[in-house]
Amino acid sequence: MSLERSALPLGDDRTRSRPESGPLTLSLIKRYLDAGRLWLRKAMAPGGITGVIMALVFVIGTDFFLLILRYIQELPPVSLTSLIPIVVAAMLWGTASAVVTTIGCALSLSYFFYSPFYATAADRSRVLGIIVFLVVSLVLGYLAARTRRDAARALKRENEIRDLYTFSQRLSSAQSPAGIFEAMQQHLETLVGRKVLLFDSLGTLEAKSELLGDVEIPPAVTETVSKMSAAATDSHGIVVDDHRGSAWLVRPVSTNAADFGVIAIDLGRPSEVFDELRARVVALIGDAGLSLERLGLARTISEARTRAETEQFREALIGSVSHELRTPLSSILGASTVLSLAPEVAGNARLKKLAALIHQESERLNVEIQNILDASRISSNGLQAKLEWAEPADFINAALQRCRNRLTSRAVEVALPEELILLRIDSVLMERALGQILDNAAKYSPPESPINVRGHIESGQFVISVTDQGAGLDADDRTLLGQKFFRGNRHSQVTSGLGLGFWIASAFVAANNGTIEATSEGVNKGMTVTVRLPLPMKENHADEGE
Amino acid sequence: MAEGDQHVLIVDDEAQIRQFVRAGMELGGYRVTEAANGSDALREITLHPIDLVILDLALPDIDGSELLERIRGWSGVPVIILSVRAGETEKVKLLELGADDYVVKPFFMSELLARAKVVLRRQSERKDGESALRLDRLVIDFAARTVELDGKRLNLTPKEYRLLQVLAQHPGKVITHQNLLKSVWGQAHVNNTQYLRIFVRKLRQKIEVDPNRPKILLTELGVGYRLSDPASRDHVRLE
Repeated sequence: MSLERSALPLGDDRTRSRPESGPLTLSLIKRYLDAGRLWLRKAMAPGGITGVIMALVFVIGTDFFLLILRYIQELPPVSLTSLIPIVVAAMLWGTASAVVTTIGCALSLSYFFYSPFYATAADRSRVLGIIVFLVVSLVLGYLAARTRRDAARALKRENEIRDLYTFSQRLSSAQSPAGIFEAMQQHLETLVGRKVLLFDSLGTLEAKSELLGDVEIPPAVTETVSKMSAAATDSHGIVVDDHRGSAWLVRPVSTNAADFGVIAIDLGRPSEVFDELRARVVALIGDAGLSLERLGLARTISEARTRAETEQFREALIGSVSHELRTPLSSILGASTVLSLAPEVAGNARLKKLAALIHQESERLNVEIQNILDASRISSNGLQAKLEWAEPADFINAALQRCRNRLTSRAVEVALPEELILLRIDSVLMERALGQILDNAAKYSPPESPINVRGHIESGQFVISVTDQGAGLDADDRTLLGQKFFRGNRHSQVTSGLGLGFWIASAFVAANNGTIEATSEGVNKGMTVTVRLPLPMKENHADEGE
Repeated sequence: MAEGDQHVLIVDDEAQIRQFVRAGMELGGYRVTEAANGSDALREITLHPIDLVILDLALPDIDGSELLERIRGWSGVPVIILSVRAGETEKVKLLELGADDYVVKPFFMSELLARAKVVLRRQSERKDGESALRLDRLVIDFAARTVELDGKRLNLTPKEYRLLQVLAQHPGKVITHQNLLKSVWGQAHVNNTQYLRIFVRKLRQKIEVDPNRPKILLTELGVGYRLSDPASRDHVRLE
């Protein structure tokens, strides 16, 4: 399959690619304009025709200047004056321009300023002077060219380093193999400026460049990729023709680690720069592969893949389990509440208690299922806060209302500011977060102890604090609180629950751009959970709606 | 109208749910018909004088929201939605499609009964065409465009009155943010939730004892507002 490219026909790109382009004259004009622009750029470059023309202009300019100066005052050594145009020409247009300037100046100066005036006489000292000036111009031209080259190289290196830096940053922030591959592919795309495809170690397409659009992947490329994935090949890769006149380089990203997958790059039509481009791309991939190996990413990628699969499986399991649990639970909960309503049960204290028990326990089950669902939504990054203008009082009331069954036995004191406060929040998520906090407060404090809910404004934030007089936190609790499935050792025997509450609350608060913090004076000294939400910038919304 | 005369249609594909909802509704004194799918439900509604439809969204043949749309095409029969999808966007969509209320599964029978009662009462009142609404201490006189609290006349701005009026046209029913904004401020302002929040607050300061703990103008998080209906207060969750 590997067609080493020999001499492929060099078709005329323009005429073939756009045969249908409307008015012929317009495309013709565009073509000539393009050609003109190209020529101009070439002419302006060091060594171009402009340099020679400008050299002549310089010579004439210098002569005029000196001639005018001669009428005003005594002349300085004229040969030294001619150094200025030589230096400028050397710096701007390179050696050729400088040489022309030197010769031009030498000839014209000897003609105008040295006796015999207005005649070119070749005496020996003047020839020597010209030679010295020629050497100076050559040296200067060389120096200028080198400086220019160094500057260009430095700029290129800087760009490459910047790209590499962005690339490495993206690599380190990538959380999945897909992210890593995307970063690689984009990096190569910027450097080469061509279509880039990345296949994972199994031969499936991981990422493709945006340049590709909807263009199908050449079958020849796919075939080579699948072959290559099985056995690593040499570092130069294989060039494949896609039968549309474009050559694709196919190469494993790393010749040592198969996990990095295979890369395919469209190198375009063969031209004089083809080999150079290919060598550059190969070197680039080699570098990228090496740095990937150095970063130990091979392992990371395979680990991430395993993790992603496990996670996916776990999510699917949780999703279906909770759905399967919820459906019968709806019937149990509903039926138990019907039982409580029935006069036969309502009139019999013992039966009524039993019905209430079924009802309470199924409600608890429902809460835990909801927590598992929330937790899986958080872990799978499925949490999307819908931020809207809302009053904090609304979600605080709703949370209290939802938890009222657990709070019946105690005094709940709520203190909120008198004035209207508007926050940009997702009220539903905040209500759930506060519900978890209240639920924990009720769970870990004596049944008759009061709970305080306070809301106030403090340094540009709306602060809600929930204070209980319960078990408090010990040193271990303080470090572990906030972790998924954490439950304090002291409580696991006493109360039920999965230990998801605070973790869920933290995630919900974070989704609202807020922070959450738990403080305690110590064991059995109660606990305060503080939620801080950003207050939006003060806007003038007074009576806008009237 | 005595409740015994009222005929409830339960549309749900799960027999267990139908079973307990029927038991609960019969305990509440309603006559009950069941339908296991959308086409049966449509037939029942066409053939019998149904007073209330309790509709599950997940049906085997027709999507619940589509069925609701079809019912609304020719009938104003009250519809309460049963849904496992508790998303607020979903609720807003259903209310805009013409649902009268929704209950999220799993739910308490007492809650469904209370909602049914409110919805049915609203329906019968609509037929009577009352010109004043009494909510506890609050009396809204639609003809005179006045609002009284504990017999004292309140000074409401036109926008505040309009807001209260829109809510009071369907006491107990959740009116979505968008609907309120459209009715009070006009189509151009449907996304200015900020206006709504500010005016609800102003109104609450005039009609509520504690605007931070409203008892009359209630918030339905992420969906809209509703006026508390005296009937819905009967429902107390069983402890």
